[in-house]
Amino acid sequence: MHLICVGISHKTAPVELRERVALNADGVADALRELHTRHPAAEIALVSTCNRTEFYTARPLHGHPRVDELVEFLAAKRDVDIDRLTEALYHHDNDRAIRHLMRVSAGLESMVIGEGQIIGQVREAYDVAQQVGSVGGVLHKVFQNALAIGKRVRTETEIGSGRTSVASVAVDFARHVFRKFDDKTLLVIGAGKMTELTLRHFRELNPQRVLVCNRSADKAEAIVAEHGGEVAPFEKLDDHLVEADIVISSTGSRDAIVTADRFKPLLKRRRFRNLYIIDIAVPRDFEPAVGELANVWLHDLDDLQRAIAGDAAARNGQVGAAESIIEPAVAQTYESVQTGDLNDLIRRLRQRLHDIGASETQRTLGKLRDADPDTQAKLLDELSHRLVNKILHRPLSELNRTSAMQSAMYATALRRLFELDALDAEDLDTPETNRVEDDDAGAE
Amino acid sequence: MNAPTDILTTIGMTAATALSLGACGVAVKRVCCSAGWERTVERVLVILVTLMTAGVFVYRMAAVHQQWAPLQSHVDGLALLGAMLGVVMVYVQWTKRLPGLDLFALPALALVTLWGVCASWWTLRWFEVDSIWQTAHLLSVFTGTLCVTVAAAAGALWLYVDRQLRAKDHAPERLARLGRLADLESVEQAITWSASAGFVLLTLALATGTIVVTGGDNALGSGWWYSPKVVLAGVVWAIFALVMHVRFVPTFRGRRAAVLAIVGFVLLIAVLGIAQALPDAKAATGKLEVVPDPGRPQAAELICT
Repeated sequence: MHLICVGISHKTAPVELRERVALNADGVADALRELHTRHPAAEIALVSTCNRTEFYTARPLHGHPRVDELVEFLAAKRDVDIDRLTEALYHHDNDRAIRHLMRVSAGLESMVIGEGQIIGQVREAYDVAQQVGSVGGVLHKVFQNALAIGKRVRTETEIGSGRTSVASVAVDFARHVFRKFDDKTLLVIGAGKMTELTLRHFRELNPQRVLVCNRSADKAEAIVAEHGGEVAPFEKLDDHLVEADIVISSTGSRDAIVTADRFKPLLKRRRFRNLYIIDIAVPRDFEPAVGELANVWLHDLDDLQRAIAGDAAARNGQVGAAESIIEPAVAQTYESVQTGDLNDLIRRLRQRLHDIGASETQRTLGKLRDADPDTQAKLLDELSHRLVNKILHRPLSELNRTSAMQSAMYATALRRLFELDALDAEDLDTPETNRVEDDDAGAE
Repeated sequence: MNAPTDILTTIGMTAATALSLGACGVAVKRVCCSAGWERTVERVLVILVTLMTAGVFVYRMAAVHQQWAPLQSHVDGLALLGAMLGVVMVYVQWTKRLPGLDLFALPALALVTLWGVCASWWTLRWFEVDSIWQTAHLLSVFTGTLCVTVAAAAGALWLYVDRQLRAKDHAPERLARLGRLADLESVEQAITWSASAGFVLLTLALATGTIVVTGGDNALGSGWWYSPKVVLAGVVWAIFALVMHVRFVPTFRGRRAAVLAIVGFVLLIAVLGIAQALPDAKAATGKLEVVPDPGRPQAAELICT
């Protein structure tokens, strides 16, 4: 099997492109269903976070989908200019693809080295692919090993130590805007996991009020039940923005929900009070121009991640230790994947040959019932011929269609697999075994 | 009673200037790249400046003027202002309430002490303190200037913190720097409080100044009310009235309050400069005259006759 990883990340694409390409869980499931329908022989998983969107595929060599097909699919799906997407693209094959996934899972490829959220996001991507049924034995093994290695790296090294979460940096920034929080109102827009995580950090500041505003009231109520606060109707978002001193926003909206034009009239209603906005949504919920307004400070995910990248210096020392865990695992996984694939092929080959044998045996048994001994011998001879021809029909047809370069490769494989040169040397081969005519091919 | 230039005063103010500049450098280094020793050195330097300027003020009362009536000359006022600003700095450093304020207030302290050097040697000017109104006027001017200076330093700090927060390249150094500065809410409150106090004191200064210039033979003349000194003082007063009311006028919160505080400070410095340069009531009435100093051909000093 040929493993491919293709995608974009914070290292190759700006946030504008990443947020255009990123898919939520439902979008990932739809994309996988569509791809799996187009390419049933391939295994496909899709990791899509705010920092990366990556396809992982396992398919037969020279099979589909190819890299360009995946890129075209993504560009069409997300309505992105394919040239722009291609510029930001990278792809890895086989053991490099495995290494990349392991590094992603361990947090080595994250903007904040060692950050812990990525492993959950990789697990989520794997779960979605499992539910859709787009992963098989190869990607099961690759993802399971990558997740195990990600966990092991965090356990055995100090890669995850220090300030690694976006939420903790957001709290630090809020402390530079406000002196005290017990007279402040915290507005939470959206009810995703990131929102919840950030809210948990801000609750420690004991804000006077917490308003949870979400399109789905059920999700907002669930957050309020766990963290306290009040559910605020989404339809009255402007009123909540007037009341708020701190806003945490992380909705799944495709477009900005608060534009500068929408927010400007609210400034006067707010009496120009200080407002700190943490926009951790991808795509962003607040237009960047909102952050340029008077007494409004807006930090998006990129800002916060850049801020914590500083702590990476301390964790960078742990990268070598993490890589020493990853490298043997890459080799082991790649070998295991290829061996497993071969075993699977052998099993399927064996099963197919048994099926052919069983079918021909049934056919011959019917003829043998009333046959005399001479006819029986002839029938058994026919049976063995038919079996050989049926088994060799497809491989030999394929061999006849191959190019010169592939012929050489196949010839070497045949010599090695069937010890044909050894048989020649022992003068045991016959013209029939070297050149089998597919005279009975029509039987298939 | 009124003596000519005093060498010890100039030496004292020069030393205070040198110490202030040293404290400025250490403050910049401390904010940009913190290390353990900078904070202590800066504190020591600020305390020395405070003691030095306070010492000059007391020395001039005791040894130069030989009477306990303060503010006999411009350099006395600058020494007092330097000492008061030093006390504010020590308080801020001690309580850690407004970390980073010293970064902007210390240059102002250096400016005051440097001005004190000039005022003690080249532009020595005596005040005619002959009434309680004149004393009240001078005291309210210098304490008002202190408040205005603190407001301006806080305004500059606000703008700096704002700039750091809005910067998109959150490099580790920038974040570390931000961690050594006060939060915007505290800084804005400091601007409001110091501007309020400055407003009250400047109002008092204007009122007492009006009494002084309109009373007796201290008049600036019939057109005193449109003299540059009075007009600029009125503008400064109006600006601080505006800054003080930011809590009630939402439009003037944050950046605008900070900028206005700085503009008010600059204008106040201009007023003080003009007040220093222009002939005052005594000169207008012929009671002051410029006497060239033969020892320093390019310098001139105003002495009371």
